[in-house]
Amino acid sequence: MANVTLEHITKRYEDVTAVDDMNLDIEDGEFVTFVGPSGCGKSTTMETIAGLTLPTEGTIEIGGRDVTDLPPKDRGISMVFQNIALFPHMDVYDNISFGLRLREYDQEEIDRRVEEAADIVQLEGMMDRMPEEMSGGQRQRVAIARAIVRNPDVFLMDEPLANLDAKLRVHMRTELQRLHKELDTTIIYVTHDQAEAMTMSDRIAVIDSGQLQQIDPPLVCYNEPTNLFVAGFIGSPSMNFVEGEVTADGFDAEHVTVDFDPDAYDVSVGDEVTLGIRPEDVYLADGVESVEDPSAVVDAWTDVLEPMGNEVFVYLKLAQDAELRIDERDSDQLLMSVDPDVEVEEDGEIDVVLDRSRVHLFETGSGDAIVHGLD
Amino acid sequence: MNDHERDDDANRLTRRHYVAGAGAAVAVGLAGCSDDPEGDIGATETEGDSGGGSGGDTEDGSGGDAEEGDLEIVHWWTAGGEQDAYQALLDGFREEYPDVEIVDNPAPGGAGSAIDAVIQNRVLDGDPPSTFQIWPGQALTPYTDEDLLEDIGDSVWTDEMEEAYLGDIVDLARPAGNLVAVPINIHRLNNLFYNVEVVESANVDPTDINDPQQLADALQTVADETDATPLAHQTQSPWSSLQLWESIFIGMQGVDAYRTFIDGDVSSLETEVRNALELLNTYSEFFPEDAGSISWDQGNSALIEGDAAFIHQGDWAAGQYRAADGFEFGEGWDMVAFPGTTSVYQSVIDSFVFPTNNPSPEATEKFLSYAGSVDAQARFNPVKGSIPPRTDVPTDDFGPFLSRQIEDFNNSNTQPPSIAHGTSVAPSVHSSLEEAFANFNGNGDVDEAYQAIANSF
Amino acid sequence: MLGGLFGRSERDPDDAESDGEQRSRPGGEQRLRTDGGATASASAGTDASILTRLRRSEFVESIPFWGPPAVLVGIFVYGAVAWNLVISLIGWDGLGQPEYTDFSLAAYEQLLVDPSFTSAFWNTLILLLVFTVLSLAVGLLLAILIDRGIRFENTFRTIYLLPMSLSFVVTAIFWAWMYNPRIGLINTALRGVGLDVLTTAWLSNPDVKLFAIIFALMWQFSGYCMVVYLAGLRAIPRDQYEAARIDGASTLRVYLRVIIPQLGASTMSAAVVLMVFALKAFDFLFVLFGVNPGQSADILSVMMYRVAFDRLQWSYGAAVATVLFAMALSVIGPYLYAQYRRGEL
Repeated sequence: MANVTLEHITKRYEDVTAVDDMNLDIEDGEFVTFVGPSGCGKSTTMETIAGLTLPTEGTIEIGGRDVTDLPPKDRGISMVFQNIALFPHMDVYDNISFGLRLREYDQEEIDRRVEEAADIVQLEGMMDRMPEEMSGGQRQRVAIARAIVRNPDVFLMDEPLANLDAKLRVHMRTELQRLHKELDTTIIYVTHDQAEAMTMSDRIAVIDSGQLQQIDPPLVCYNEPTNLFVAGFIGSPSMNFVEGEVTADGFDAEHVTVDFDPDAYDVSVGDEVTLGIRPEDVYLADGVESVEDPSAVVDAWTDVLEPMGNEVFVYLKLAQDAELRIDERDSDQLLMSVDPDVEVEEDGEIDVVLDRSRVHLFETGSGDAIVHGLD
Repeated sequence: MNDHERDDDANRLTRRHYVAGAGAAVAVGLAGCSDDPEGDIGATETEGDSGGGSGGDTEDGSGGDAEEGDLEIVHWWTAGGEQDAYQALLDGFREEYPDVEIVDNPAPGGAGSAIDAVIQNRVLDGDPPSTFQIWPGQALTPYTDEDLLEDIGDSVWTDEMEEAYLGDIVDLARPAGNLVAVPINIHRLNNLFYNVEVVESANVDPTDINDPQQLADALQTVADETDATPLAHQTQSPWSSLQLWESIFIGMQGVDAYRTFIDGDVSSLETEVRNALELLNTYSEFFPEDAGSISWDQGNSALIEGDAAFIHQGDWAAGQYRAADGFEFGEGWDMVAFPGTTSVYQSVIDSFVFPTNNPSPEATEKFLSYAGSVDAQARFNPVKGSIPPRTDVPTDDFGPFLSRQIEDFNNSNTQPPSIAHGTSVAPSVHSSLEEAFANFNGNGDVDEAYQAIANSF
Repeated sequence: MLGGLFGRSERDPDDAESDGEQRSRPGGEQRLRTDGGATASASAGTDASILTRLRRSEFVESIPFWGPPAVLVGIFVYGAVAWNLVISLIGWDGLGQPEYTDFSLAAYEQLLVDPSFTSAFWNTLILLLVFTVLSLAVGLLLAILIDRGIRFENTFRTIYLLPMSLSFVVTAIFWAWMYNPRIGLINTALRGVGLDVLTTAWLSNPDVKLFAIIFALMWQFSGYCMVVYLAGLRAIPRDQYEAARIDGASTLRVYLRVIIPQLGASTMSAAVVLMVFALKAFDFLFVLFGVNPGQSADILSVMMYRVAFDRLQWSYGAAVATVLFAMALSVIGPYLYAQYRRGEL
């Protein structure tokens, strides 16, 4: 049981800065997820916590103890790896008990703890199996059992579910949450999958380019992203962004205007800002009564429809000749999600409105958030 | 489909068995390579596999380009001076017999180390070359035992030729009573070469050393007085020690005892054999430190450089002196007969033979007759650095050293054949003795060496 | 042999005809059927079912591929081995033709009392074991060093592997110079660090001769072991090192308990190659010492050559060869059996 504190952690390789002045405070018993795109530095940050990599600068404390220069085994941590990393020449029992045997616990203690750990991950009766005889999910459980058997203060999990198939991944997600509840141990979890991060974490640490962008509970990250990166990274499908500027009447872009009083916010007329709106906060102008505070009508043309069952994603072009780009939508495009019973035709003209109370404004230059929800 | 599955199973089993078998076969093949000397001293092709399985499955060990009637000569003269000598011989033969096509088929490898396997295979296969180089004397016995050499007593050995050779040498050409070989050159074995300067600086006069024991004293003097190695020698392979022992034995006991020895009566000579071994042990204290890592010519180079005083070696060693700049006979180096063997000309001889099943009987006869002629031996020997076995070859081209050797030869009382160079004992005895001396080089154990020598016969 | 191959491809059309199913090439069936295979199928008559089964059988179909090599190997390897065994029994000496009349074990009885054989046998065994174990150990060490990401990895890998590409002849001459007690590098280096006591005539001193040879051979082959091990190491995910470290294993323990136990297959295949090369050390010894290395370094393959080609004692040489063959088999046999059991054959 321990809290983890990172102070000014920086990791530089010859020509790359993988982690840049990272400051983190993780509470005892907290489940924190590091999330970010590939190469953002989240795994390196975890390796410095584990002691597999020494930071170039900064200090790491675990449970109030400075562990910056300690080897991994003395940090009171255990780790689960992306490739599971079971030792293929050892059976399940030997894999789980490896660390205990190295520390020369007595045999009874080892047996007791292995049994306990195997119980928690539901591996009873598989002690003699070799890893190659097991399924991916079973192997992952062995890896987790190997981590919990040593009663660590902190669990580190480096994309532990990345190599499992989709169904198993969802299942293991739930199991990990159960495990966290049962063990009540600090867990630091690395993933590039923001859905995993949203569902399991107490707090999400969004990392980009080696820098911590935001660390907050999942819904805070979702609803009040601190900057464009977090806004775009958290949420699937991602937030719509429209670049424009501040006028005396509010936000003005080529195809979209949203009225507000510039004086009420920390903006001035002429500022370049980016408006952000999530797909579920875009509505058909016809059903406008369901939105308390709609924006002005936006003329749009429907392009592709993606029915998902419980909702339909509608790709909108704000100019008739705009070119649709699904992956990175431009300022002349919007993604809207509507109920499946709403009838929308492909390639038709359509009027939509934005829910003003759900509009985010960011400084276009720095990306920093200005306001979440207009009055 | 059940049938099909069963078939599949059966096939898989069979296939696995087959693959298992093939794997073992590969392994066997690899192991079999271990006795294949391919890529060693010479690029010889020998039947590699079974060590003994050389009966009839190799068609032609080498030189497949010989046509019927062409004269195919297999020899080991491939090093610089030797090759020149051999070419001189061929030039002379071509002048005499321009119509004979010669197929030159060298089997390189010092002192015939590779040629034996090549010739043996081909003879066993009934596919011998027209003629081949071989030591005369006992080295011929494996061939004469099976009547694999033609009697050339009438066709090649004319009375004139027989008279021109010394008696001991002619005897070596008829190990089984009839003449089967033509000796073409003679090297003396019992030479003691020395570096004049080094020997003088030690105040040793080689001509004053009268027996092998005194040589040991002289070596001690050299060791005391100079920094030079007293006796250049190599022990990497055993033949040098074997030939040195021969000379010691003759020097101590005389030629009669030596002849008793090579007839196989070792037990009556136990003390004598042991004494010679003891003395060889004494000599070994004066060998260069790296005797076990060098070849004989590296040892000989040390003598040229002035780093060694003496060397016991056949007179082929003089070829190296001749090639060295500013190292002249009489001034830089000189030679005396090995102490105690002054009137003995220990002979190392090469000869050519007439194998049965000969692919070119006429050409072979012409070649052997030519090899026995004054012209051939006058061309060949000066270049080779050996003396002609014929006593009537003019000495004009031979230079001062070889001329003196020829004089010594003609004045010698006896020309005993050599053990180390195959003429005096059968190949199997020769090989056993070499093994005995290989061990003796390592451990200097006189008892063990004596037993091994006695068991060799 | 080739006839079988061609014959088979000519029969292909009516194969297709009677095969009927043509699972793999449904499109080709039509073309083949119109190719005039009808007459063949008509004459097949009542034997059709057996013929069909024969033709469908993978065993029969695969004969052209494994048949010719099997016959060649059968004649030239197994035939030669068998013949060698026969020769060892018939007491054949000299240049006469062998007579397959009297069979006896005399040659083998002679082996038992021949001190040359005894020393050659033990030397071969020592060479085999010590050389193999040392080369594996050194190769593993080098592989681990290189795997741990030293600089100039490729350069070192090449340097270590280079000796492997040299022939025994070159190695032998090179080491004859290295071992030269007067000017050789080994003794010079020993003198340089004040260890004059250890200098010796490496290739003449009977006490160290065999080990000097083993060391030289090891120099040549440890690079090969390194490459085999390196491949094995590279196949182990980095995660396993990290997992073991986090579990509290020191670097030494990581290798001893986690990494090296996983290199079994590498060890096995490298060891077999090494042992076979150890049996082949003939070349090396032959270049250094000729056919008489002396009892302290004599090995069976050299003895076999000496006895057969130097002394013309074919049967005795064949008996030595048989012993050598048995040794090779005892090395390869268990390996093949292990592979077979693991289903890799």
